[in-house]
Amino acid sequence: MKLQQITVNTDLLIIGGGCAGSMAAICIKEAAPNLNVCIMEKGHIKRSGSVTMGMDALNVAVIPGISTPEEYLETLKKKCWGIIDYLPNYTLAQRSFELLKTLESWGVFFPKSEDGNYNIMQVDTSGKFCVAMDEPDLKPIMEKKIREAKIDVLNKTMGTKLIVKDGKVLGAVGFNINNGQVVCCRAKSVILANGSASRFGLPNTGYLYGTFDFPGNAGDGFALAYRAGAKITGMEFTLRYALVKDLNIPLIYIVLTRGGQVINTSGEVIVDKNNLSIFLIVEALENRKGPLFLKTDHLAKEKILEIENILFSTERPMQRRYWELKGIKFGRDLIELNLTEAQLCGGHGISGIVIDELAQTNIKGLFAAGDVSSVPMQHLTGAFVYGKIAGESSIEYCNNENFSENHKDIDREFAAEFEHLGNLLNLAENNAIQHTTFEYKLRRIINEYLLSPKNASSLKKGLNLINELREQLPHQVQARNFHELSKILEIGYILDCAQMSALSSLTRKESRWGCIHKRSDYPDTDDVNWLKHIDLQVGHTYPETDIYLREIQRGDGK
Amino acid sequence: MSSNTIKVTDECIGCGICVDLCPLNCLRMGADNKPYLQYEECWYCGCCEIECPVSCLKMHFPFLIY
Repeated sequence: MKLQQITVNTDLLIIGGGCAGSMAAICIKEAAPNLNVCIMEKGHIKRSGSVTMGMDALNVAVIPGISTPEEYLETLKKKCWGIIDYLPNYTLAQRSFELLKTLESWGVFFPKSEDGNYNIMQVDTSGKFCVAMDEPDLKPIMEKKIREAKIDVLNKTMGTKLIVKDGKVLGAVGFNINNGQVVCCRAKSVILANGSASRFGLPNTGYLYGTFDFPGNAGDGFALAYRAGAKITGMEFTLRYALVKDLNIPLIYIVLTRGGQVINTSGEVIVDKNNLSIFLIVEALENRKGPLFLKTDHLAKEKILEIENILFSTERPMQRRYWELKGIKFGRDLIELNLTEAQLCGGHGISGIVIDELAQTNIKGLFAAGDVSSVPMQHLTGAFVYGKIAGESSIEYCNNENFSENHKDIDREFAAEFEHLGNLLNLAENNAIQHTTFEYKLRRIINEYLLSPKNASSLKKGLNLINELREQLPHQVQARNFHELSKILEIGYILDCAQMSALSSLTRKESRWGCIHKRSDYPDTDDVNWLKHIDLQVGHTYPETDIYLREIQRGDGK
Repeated sequence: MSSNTIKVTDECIGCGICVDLCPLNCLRMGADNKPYLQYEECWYCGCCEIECPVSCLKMHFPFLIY
């Protein structure tokens, strides 16, 4: 079993072919057909990323006449307890309607009422920013456009390293997890769009891949960017959602916006459409006020049919079979809810690569979009809007920057990475521990030491254990083929994310965001000292890390 | 690996589309030219079943989650 090497020269490289990466590629080809674009995708671009199937809503849509960007910012500020920057989020809101129209022109279906209005739902305690979408084939629609535009796609290829010299990106290294090809990709500009750290905390079932968000994402992008010197923020935001117990499939918004209720064992209503907030459910479960159930037996038959039609056709259609297996019927039975595992995500939470309103990172020529970037709670809308913005910014960068034809630096960096991967494969062939066993231990440690209630002693203990596992990884975990080698690389990404999360949590000496960052040794929220971002950057020698506090960028000039 | 996660009927034409499109890359083609689950890393998204051109594949939920 040997690694092979190939070289790809392109103008623009996109790492990750999910919604953000695909949108970036399509927009670049439309605006600048002369530029070569290449996408590295770990899965297959037709069904990859967090939206492997379809999606039932755009969670951020500021529709003229219904809501304003200012109202969106106000709601978001409350949800993030003030830890948001004005411009990136304002831009998201401002460009969300234009994005909706673009998707609609591509054939993405947004149901409308008889009078021609979108179906707009309230899923926060204030503001109406969620628009119903009914599209089981979101990714295939984009994949077709990518195929028609003749964009190069390297499927089954994960990013393993960004090549950066003197603060400027020169390309990246990819690894084909099926055939062992190591790709040296020389590029003028790179867009990182390879998702969140979904495989972070361990789900209650103990099933490593039973995460609520797409488990193909192991924090690859966070780790790649961090190792290359990009700034990463909000890693203390260890987010747990409330979803269907064990199955971890989203349905709460769909059911509650159509009249369902969340109740406790006494039948007391905890959340319904009048106070719809996922965080109220999370809070109740964290504070041991559960078990909680989703109740639908009071709904009219038509409503139940409407709910089932959406649930069984768009985002996770396979759930129909799950309910049949369990003998559970909507409109008759209660559905138990539970907390999900913890994740780090720029789409649901606030964690990710620091970008500005032009999707720029602190590394020249490196842009980021979607769940990998910190535009708090940007959801799918953010992936699309910032995918487009990253595309626009990278075109401008390619057209205005001078690029040297000297490939010495990139070839040297590639050779080092090629050797590193080869050595790892040789070493791991004779190891004894299965990657799943090692990952289980790491993620159990994350659950035990890195999540709320947090305190300095447990976080430090967690950091020590993470360091021990980091040392053990190449000498313990077996890789008998390229797929298993990719798992060792992913465990390395989870280790980086765990370390960054522990460091950020240790730094934030206050409690914030309810159960998300609750320090038992600092139980109060301290706006005087901690209304700030915590950014991390790799130190002199990886994995040493420097920590920076950054002021909140306000829109009102204060 | 023995697993009930993927069940394939005799109608399978061995096209390999399910193996290629699986977002977690956990399916492989067996010696009998039929797909099987090589790695217990399934997210039960159902792409394999939905994309099968002859509807011969049925996805089952992993034991740990039901």
